[in-house]
Amino acid sequence: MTNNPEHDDQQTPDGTHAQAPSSEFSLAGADARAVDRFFGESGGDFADHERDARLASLLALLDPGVSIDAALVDVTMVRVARTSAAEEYELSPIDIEAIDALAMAGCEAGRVPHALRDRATRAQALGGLLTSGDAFDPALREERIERLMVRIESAERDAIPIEAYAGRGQGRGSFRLSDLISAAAAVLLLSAIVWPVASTWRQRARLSGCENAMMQTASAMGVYAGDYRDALPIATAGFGGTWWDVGSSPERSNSANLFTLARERYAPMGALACPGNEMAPTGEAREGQTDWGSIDDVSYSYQIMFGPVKPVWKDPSRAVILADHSPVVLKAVRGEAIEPLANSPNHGGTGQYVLFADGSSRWQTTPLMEDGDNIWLPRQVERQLDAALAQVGIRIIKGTETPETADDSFLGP
Amino acid sequence: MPEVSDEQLFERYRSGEAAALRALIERYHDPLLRFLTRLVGDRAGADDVFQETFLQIHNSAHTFDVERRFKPWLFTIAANKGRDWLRRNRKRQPLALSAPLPGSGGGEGGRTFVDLMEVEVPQPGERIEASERDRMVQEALDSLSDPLREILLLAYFQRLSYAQIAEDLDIPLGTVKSRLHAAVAAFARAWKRVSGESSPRSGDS
Repeated sequence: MTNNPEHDDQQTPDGTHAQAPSSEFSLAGADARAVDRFFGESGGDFADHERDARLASLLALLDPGVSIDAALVDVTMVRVARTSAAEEYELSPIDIEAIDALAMAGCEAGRVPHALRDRATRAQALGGLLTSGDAFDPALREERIERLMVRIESAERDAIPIEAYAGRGQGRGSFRLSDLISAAAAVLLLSAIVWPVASTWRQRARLSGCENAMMQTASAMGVYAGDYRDALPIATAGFGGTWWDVGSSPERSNSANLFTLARERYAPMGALACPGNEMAPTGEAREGQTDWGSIDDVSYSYQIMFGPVKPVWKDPSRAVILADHSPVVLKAVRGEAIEPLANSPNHGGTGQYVLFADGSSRWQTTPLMEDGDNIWLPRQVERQLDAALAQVGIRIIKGTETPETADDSFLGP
Repeated sequence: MPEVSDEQLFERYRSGEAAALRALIERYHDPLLRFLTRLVGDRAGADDVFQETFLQIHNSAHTFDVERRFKPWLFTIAANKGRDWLRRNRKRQPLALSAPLPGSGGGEGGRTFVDLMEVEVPQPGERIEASERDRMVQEALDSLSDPLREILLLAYFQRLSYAQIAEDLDIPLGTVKSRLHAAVAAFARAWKRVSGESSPRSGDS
């Protein structure tokens, strides 16, 4: 949170400028009266319409062209909610495991495997606090389970995508206790702490327009994955040989896979447009539109979804599935020499936002990940590069390559 | 059906109704974002400050005096956050008002009277490229001192009367007037300079 002790909330703008400098410019009397009239002072004298109009036009210059940005409202709400829900409320993975084990053991901490027993005992005690001491009373267990099932069923009936909140890679219908806790927490805490994309927001105070867009896309992917059994957006199962012919047909364009989010109205076009890409269209997709018109319109490069292996949403491997526009594909598609370590042109070559399959994102100043994976290249090319650095600059990707494994991040076009 | 007042919405938010905050955010999305865009001169920055403002509203909810009006409080916080942002992000010092302007004649301690009738403003029907106009307006605004820019933008975007401003800021009515006069004069002058530089037809300097 902002840490500005000098800022009193009720402080007036005036307060910090107690001795506001008087301007060297001043208004002639008639103009001053026009200003007075504009700001609601009913001057006794007659209105000087021409002057009034001129003043009004001058001040109207102050209105900037601001486009309505629904995402800003959402992002602001989530940030506010996140403040309410302090981070420590999120369960650590080991606690989740312990709670699951507790549930498996019939809510008897004594039967939980030794390694998790301490945590399970604490979780049990905590549960007891929450429910006035009867949480794990065996006599009430049946009734409680019954109630739980009714809630699960009604959640199912209302088609609330609990996975979307809980964000766990389980099929619908197979909930774990921690999932339910997460879902309940999500409702209670305005869905802030367990929303799939929230982890990203935790990492930074500042969100740029680009990152906002990417987060919206991530959020849309989470909803899409909830509807399609954790699958990432895909337009067609066919593959026409190359995947960088943007605007041709979905079999020959990987961006058509990403465009699925706009086509099926999971995300507005604006969410798929990085402000750093001036060519990116932000108006609503036309009915029946399946792809961007050209490669320059595309803002984000997406994991190549052709080929035998595809990552899934919530994949724990930390594979990168989306990033600012790949500079490598932009060059390769035009037959120019590529620079494997270049950063995206979206931000002037300074770096790129990357989105992980687990829903988190971050700013990177290099296309290389910790494990050495270059997100612009498939592993076979990376190996070629390693083997023959001398060949850097030769056109070594042909637009036909696909990721070697699900955790081989390879984004385009 | 009468619209729920800002203060009523805020009170509902304070008593736990999260949707009421969303309603307020939506209600002020446009005016506040316009104000902030002009204040910080950067759209992404304005987005940031917008979020910071509502975070501060949330964090300070308990300090809000129910007798006061919500809008001035919101804009005051926004102005403070905008000032913070500028301090962190401003790449260059704003031009001082005393920077030599062609034909200003404003020497030390001297005052130059600006005549609005001499200032060229785009007339309805006269189309300047919107982005070009925005850039010029921002350049003109950036040359104003911080206090003058703030008072001009606060007054304009809140659409408040002198009396309300005086009440909200708790400063004398006369002071409000003279500052706003100075702010309008400075902006008119800066606009004249900026638009004169880019348009060959008004070369009066």
